[in-house]
Amino acid sequence: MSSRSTGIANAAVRAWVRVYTSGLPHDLRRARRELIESDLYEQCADEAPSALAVFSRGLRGVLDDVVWRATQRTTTETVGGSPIGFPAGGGAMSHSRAIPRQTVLLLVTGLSLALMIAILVHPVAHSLAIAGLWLTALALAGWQLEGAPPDEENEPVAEPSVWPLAAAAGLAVIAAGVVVSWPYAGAAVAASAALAGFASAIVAIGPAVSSTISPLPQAVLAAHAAAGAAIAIEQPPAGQVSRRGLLRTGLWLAMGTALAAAAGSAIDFLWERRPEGFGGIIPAGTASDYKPGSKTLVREGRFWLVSLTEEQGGPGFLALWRKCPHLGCTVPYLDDFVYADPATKESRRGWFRCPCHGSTYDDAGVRVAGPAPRSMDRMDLAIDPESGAITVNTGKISNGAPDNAEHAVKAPPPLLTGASRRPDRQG
Amino acid sequence: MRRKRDTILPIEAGILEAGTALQALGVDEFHGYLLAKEMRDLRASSRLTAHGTLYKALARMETSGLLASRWEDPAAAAAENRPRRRLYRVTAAGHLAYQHLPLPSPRAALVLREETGRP
Repeated sequence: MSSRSTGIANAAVRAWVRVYTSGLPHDLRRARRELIESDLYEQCADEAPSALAVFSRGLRGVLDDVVWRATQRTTTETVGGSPIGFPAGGGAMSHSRAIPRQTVLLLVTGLSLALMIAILVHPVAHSLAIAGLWLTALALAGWQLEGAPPDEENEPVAEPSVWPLAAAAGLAVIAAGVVVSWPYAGAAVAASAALAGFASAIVAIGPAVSSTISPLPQAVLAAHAAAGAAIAIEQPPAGQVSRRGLLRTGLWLAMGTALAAAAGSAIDFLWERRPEGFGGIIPAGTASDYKPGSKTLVREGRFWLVSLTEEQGGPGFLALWRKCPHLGCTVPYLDDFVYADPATKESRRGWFRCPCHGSTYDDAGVRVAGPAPRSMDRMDLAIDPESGAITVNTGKISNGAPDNAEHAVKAPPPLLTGASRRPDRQG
Repeated sequence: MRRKRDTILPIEAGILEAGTALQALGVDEFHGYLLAKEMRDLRASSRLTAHGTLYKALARMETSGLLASRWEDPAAAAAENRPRRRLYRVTAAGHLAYQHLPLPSPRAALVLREETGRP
């Protein structure tokens, strides 16, 4: 129960109060902050709570804070000058359909982000995202157009409309598209869609939840007392869930989903990506498929699978990246090209030779001439000791050097003895 | 959501109950935290009502006329080196409402606990 961690929890609650009171008139904002400040002080002075207790208390009230904020007006219409501020009393005024600026911004940002990312990803996710966005947009438009005129005094506002539910359904469709393309941009889209859904739900439901409090006038109470009737506690009909409870649970779930999606997307980065195709692990047959001295182009992995003879520095297998280290041209193997190695002055036939600027490499990819800065790069190669299966990790590339041949991987012995020993340069 | 006419929410009933109990103890005006503590004791719970829930309900009840509130004297607060409190008291209307509450049925008590104890 360190008081410093409690201090941090207090600061977090204060920060949250600053967030949800931003944009309110000065008096209202100050009053609310002082109210919470006093409560925090009293609790700390009285029972020295743990950080978790303070934080949990703040967190459990977040929903009510947001709803309270949604019902505040930006103009100070108050009753009896109460600085806590409340919709002007009596329930007589027209109910504001004004949507807080921040909510609109959040909504638009979330939906735009969702659309952008979904388009880039999966085709199915793309279709679902578009369908969901249409549904959501229509639902929100319908809700706006539906707006009922204010009723007479004390008559509560119309029932919560079905449009928020339709908007939520649209967002669920988007979320489905996101789930389908999860490995890619799923989490980010889910987070933004859930946040947008939460914001739009608050916008739609907030005023209906908390506005229109029909006060209990003295006359009514007295009449009740005289008639001996009891003032009923609002409770759900037997066996059913109260509407209030359902809404509150639903909104908490929406917020929880948004937070979980955001956290999930962050945590997802802890797992290593395993790409397929180039960049990942490519199989390249088995060791016995290749004659010593052969050079086989593996297109999917963009490398030459070279089986070195003893003469060439082997025996063993090398995977040489076909991209020339000079300026990236694809390097072919020229069987008939006759060239004299400048170092040894002996003429040989068969070289890797880049067509762009003439960089020339020997059978192990070692550079003998040309503008390339180094020898051909090697990819990590592994041979399964039992089956002789060759796998090349095209995600792990090492710079080429004159010692390329020393990195050749030998095939397991039983397979070697069965391989042909003909020094055949053609593969 | 629309509430039925002339009804009190379970959390409001809980607040009135706690406020009345504090008055019986001699505390006519109480601040939010004190009320939350009393509510916790009456409910035999381990968690205090959340800030947002509590103050939203208090403000609503004030508008309804069940409670009245005022800021305490700043000098008194400064003398004790603490932020000034918002003091609430149960009004006559609030007492009337509380007197007419039926004995909590098991279901009402359940809702009471749910409303004030959990989100």
